[in-house]
Amino acid sequence: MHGLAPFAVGRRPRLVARLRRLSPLVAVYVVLVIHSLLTLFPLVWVLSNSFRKNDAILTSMRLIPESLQLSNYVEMLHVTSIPLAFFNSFTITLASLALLVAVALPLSFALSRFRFRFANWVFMFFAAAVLVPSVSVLPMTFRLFADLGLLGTKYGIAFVYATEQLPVSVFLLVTFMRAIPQELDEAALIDGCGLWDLFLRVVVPLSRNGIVTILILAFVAVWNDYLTALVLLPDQENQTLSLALAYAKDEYFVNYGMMSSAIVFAVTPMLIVYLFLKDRLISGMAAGAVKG
Amino acid sequence: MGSLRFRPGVALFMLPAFALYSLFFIVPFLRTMYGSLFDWNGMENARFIGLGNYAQLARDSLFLTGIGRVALWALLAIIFKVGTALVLASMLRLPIPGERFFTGAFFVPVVISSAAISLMFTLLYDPDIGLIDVALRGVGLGFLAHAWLSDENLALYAVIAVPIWHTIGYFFIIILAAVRNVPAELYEAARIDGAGARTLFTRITVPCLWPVLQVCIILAITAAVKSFDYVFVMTKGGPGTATEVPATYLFRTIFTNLQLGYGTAMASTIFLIALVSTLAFRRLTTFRLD
Amino acid sequence: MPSQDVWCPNAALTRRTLFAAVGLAAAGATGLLAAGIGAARAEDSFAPPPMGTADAKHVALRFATSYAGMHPMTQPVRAIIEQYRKDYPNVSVAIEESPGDAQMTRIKIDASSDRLPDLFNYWRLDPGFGLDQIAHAGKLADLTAWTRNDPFFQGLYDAYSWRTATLDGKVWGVPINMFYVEFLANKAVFDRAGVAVPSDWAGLLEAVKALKAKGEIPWAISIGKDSEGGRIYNAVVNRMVGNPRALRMHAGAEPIDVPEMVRAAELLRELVVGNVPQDAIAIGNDSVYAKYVNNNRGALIMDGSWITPALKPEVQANMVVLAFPLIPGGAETQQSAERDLTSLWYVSAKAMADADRRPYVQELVRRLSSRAAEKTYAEEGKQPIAALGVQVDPAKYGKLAWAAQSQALNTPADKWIPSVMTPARRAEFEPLLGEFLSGKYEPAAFVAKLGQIFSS
Repeated sequence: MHGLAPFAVGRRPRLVARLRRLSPLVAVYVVLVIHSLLTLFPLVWVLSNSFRKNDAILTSMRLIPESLQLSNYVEMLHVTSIPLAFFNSFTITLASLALLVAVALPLSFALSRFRFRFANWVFMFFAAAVLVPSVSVLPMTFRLFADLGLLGTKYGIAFVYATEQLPVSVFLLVTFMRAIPQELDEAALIDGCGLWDLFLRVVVPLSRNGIVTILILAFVAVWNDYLTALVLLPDQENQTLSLALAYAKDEYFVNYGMMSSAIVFAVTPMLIVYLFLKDRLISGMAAGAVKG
Repeated sequence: MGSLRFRPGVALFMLPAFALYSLFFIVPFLRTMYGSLFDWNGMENARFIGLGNYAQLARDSLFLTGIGRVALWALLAIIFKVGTALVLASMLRLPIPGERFFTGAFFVPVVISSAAISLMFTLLYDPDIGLIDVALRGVGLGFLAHAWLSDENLALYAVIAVPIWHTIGYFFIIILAAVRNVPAELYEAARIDGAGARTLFTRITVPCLWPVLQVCIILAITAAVKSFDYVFVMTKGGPGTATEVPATYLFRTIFTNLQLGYGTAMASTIFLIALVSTLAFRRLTTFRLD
Repeated sequence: MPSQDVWCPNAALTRRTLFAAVGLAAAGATGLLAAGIGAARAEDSFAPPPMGTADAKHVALRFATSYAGMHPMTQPVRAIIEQYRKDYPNVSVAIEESPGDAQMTRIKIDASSDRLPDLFNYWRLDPGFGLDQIAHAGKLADLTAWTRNDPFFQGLYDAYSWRTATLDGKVWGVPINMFYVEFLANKAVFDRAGVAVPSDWAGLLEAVKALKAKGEIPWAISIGKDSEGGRIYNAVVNRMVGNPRALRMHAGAEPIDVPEMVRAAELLRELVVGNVPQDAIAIGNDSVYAKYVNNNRGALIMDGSWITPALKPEVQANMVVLAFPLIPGGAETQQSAERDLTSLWYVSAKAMADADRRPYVQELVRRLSSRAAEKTYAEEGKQPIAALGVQVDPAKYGKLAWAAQSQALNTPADKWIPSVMTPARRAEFEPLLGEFLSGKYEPAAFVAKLGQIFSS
């Protein structure tokens, strides 16, 4: 149970010595708790507001709502098709992540394991998209979609999402893959293990942490995207959750209560997915630690 | 770069990414860059004006001051976003009790869209009902309470604080995964040698994480240069033009003014600035793939 | 007030006589339109296509709208589309929703890829909304011949509405809703402070000072970009130099850096600066209403008609409708109010040129613009409608809104000043005005800066 290492201090007879020994840990907890409070307070406030109406929200600050009325949720379900939007967000995100992993893993494998003259250039080539404000490319992406006949399709946008996430994913995967010991690679290849085997049997399994990390980050980015979806998914039946969020607002007024309920709608499944993935992340890590 | 000798088969591993990226990023990107040489509203005959848009941009004070603001934004983002995330992640390197709660809590803001977060923060900054001023008054610091977004001198900082708060969790997750990948025996060995927590942090954590930290820093810089929704929703660039940044200006130029040529010239300039700062950063920190 | 009222027949009459006097430009526009009458083509038959023919040729229409989600027009419009779908089983209407400002982004991107929706609602043809460029590029259908010759449109809208729907002598849109600026005083706040509700300019300045001295907030407004502060600026400038000249100045067609404007800026400063909520530069409409107006904080409001439903009923009961007073020595000698269309239906040039789609699009527009439809827009959607001769129940429309509307319709209309600004100038003007209203500049310096913006 090396997980309890900070506590594994020998039993000291004197309290003072114990405290001195514990004080770094106390400091750690103080920092963690303060940061948790800073992080969670606004969110508790959003949750509270999801049960309140604009007049209440805009005149008093409450972390606990006056009453648990669900009218914002009902209204949100009424003005837009949340179940459909939810389904669309889920399937589109899934398609984008599948595509992302399918292209990012082999590329990162090639960039992290092999020696070749243009590796740095290839890396920079794929980094370029990080440096461009995506709003500026959007008109041309739209035109490309129209040219390719992808407008009006539901999953065409997955190509754009996977492309947008590719650079960051490759950055991270390359650093993760490089951390995997490389000494055995050559031997494995000489032993008749093909490139494909090396990739699938050695590198991918050992990159699990990295893969889970990029999946979480890409999931968040794709799930929350608004502008690209607004432009590339014009059809009502293809709308995603973040587009539904905009329905809580019109030209002059924002319905903050409804907006809060929409946030809760959008966030809850994300948290569930995240907590599920995080367990995998941690178990993967523990396995690595045992081996390590 | 890895240690294995290159062989033709490796190219096949790069091909799918290359195809996807070329079609869905490089093609629209090149067309965008090309468009920056024209006076063009996206519909009618485009008029070729060479570098005319760039010449105009060099005299556009709104754009130039915006670049200064973004530099400040990037600096603060590196210090507070990446810095805080690094400290938190190294504190949670080993699973201490409550670790599940903390890692979960830190990540929650990231899952909310930035437009929604920004709308919420316009309320949080409200002098009467905002969480921030109410809390300040609650702990007896009422004299610090402000109409944050109304104050010309504070509004920019108030805006920058939001993406920092919003995305610390993003960097936290990246760094946490990396910090837990550092072989445990490095720490054990150092501890046996009598190293304290601070020494472990500066001598092991930071050097081992340096490649990942560099990625984070680059991401923090580019996010600062690119993000427009926070400003767009919270202040629309105001009060006056105190929070106008190139990305909001760019969005307005393209989507409101329909000056596609001028807007894409801005985009290309932002790209070049981001490219140069990234390259400079990599050069300064001698970060290479090999 | 009678419980049923014909939709302002009197107002319409008044307006017509007023236009005879005031609207030289309107007459010019109508003349241009009249010239186009003869151009109707033989194939333009305006009878609706036969209904219920599922075996008729299939037609696919794209309908893009910002009437979505919370927008009060969503349900009335949706109901009309549903009925249309039942009546025309051979027509599929794909609805593309973009709430609020997102509609502008959508339409502009669509236009730049030459795939404008067949029918959509949009703002006016002002340069600030970008549709004028889309029309110039030939993407938008010219509706002149149709709207002049189809008996459906006879007497449906007044000349002022048609003038707004017209650009370069051609009609591009069919009016939906309009707006007017309302000037309201919260009687409860005035009574609490013991101040009389003002009826003239001197009284207004006095009242603002007296209210402030009593610790009340004189103006419950935001002064950020495109906010209520701009409405007061428009009113003062219009009173001072007259709306036609104000429009020329803000279009860059006439010097703006003139003594009358400095005087207007001085009066504006006296009226507004320091007399607004402390966070007035940063808050949006919703905060203004939730924090101030609906809590009876703030004595005066000046805003677009769309805000009336945001007022709580008990607060509406406190409100009295005022006329923004004339300024002694100003160019305007007759009370006027800002009023115009806010939204119109537009058809793509491709849909209009396509013999298959055209009759179905036209029929959809007629259904969306019929008096029966307009009645639901007014009574259910609470929107001020552009159509004439519609029977509206004032009780359903709202008492305060009705009173404000009657007031607005009985005065000549001023055009919204920013409607003549190019987007680039407006982007410079709005922050400058916000800064001026928060007290950053002297009137002369402010007008000099206006001169820089509008002379370049």
